[in-house]
Amino acid sequence: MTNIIKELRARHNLTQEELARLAGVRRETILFLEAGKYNPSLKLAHDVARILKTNIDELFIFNDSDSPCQK
Amino acid sequence: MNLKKYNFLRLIIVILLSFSISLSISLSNYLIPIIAVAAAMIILYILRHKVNEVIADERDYALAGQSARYTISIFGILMMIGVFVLLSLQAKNPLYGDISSILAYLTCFLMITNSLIFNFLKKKEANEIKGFKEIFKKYWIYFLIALILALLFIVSTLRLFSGEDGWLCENGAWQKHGQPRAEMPESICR
Repeated sequence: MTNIIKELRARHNLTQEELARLAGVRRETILFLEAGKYNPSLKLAHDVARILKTNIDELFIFNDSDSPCQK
Repeated sequence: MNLKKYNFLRLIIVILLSFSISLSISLSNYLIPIIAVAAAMIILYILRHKVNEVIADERDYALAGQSARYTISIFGILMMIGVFVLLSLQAKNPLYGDISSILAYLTCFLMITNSLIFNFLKKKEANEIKGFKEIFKKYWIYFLIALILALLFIVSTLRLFSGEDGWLCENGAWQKHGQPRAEMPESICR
C-alpha cells in the first residue's frame, strides 16, 4: 500500500507537525504513515483524508498484492 | 505544557521514585515507597492533563499491545524455567520450593489476569457487556478461580514469611521453632 499524503500535505502547505495536530496523533505517526510503514485505522485514514480535502480511495493506493482476496 | 517538558518532569519523578525506594530499603521503612508511588501517580496524572500535545496515539497503543504480548510470553517462559530450576534445587534448600511456588502462582495470576482483561475488552468492544453485575453473572467461574488462586498465594506467602517451622536467632544461638525442613543455618547468630 502506498499513499500520496506527502504530496497533498505539501500542496496544502502543512508541516508534519501541523497535520499530526489536526489529526490528533503524534508527528512520528505521520512520518511512518507517509513512508508507508504504518497501516492506519479507518478513523485516522478518514481524518487525514478529510484534512487533506480528499477521500481514502485517492489518498491510499492499494496494490493487488496487499489483499489476500485477490489471490 | 509541551511534550518535551512533560517527558523531562516524568524523568525527574522516576529518579526521585527510585531514590525513595533505595532509601526505604536502607532504612527498612516500606511505607516510604508506597507513599512515593501514590504521590508520583497523582502528580503524573495531573501533569498528563496539562500537556497540550498528543502523548500517545493509536500507533503507540498498537505497539503497546504487541509489546505486552511479547513481554507476557517471555516472562511466562522464563518463570517456567525458573520454577523448574528452583524445584530441582529444593533438596539443597527447602526455601527454593516455596519461592518456586510463589513464582508459579504469580505467573498463573498474570496469565489469568491477561486472559480476563483480553476477553473483557473483546466483549466490551462487541457491546456484549454493559455492567459489572452482568460480567459477574457471565464469568463467575473466573472470579472463583481467581479467588482460589489468590487465597493459595496468600497462604503460601504467609507460610514462607511467617517464621513458623524455621530457625530463630535467640540470645546468640539458633533455636528450633516448630519442625523446620532446613538444616540449622551455618551463619553466625548475633
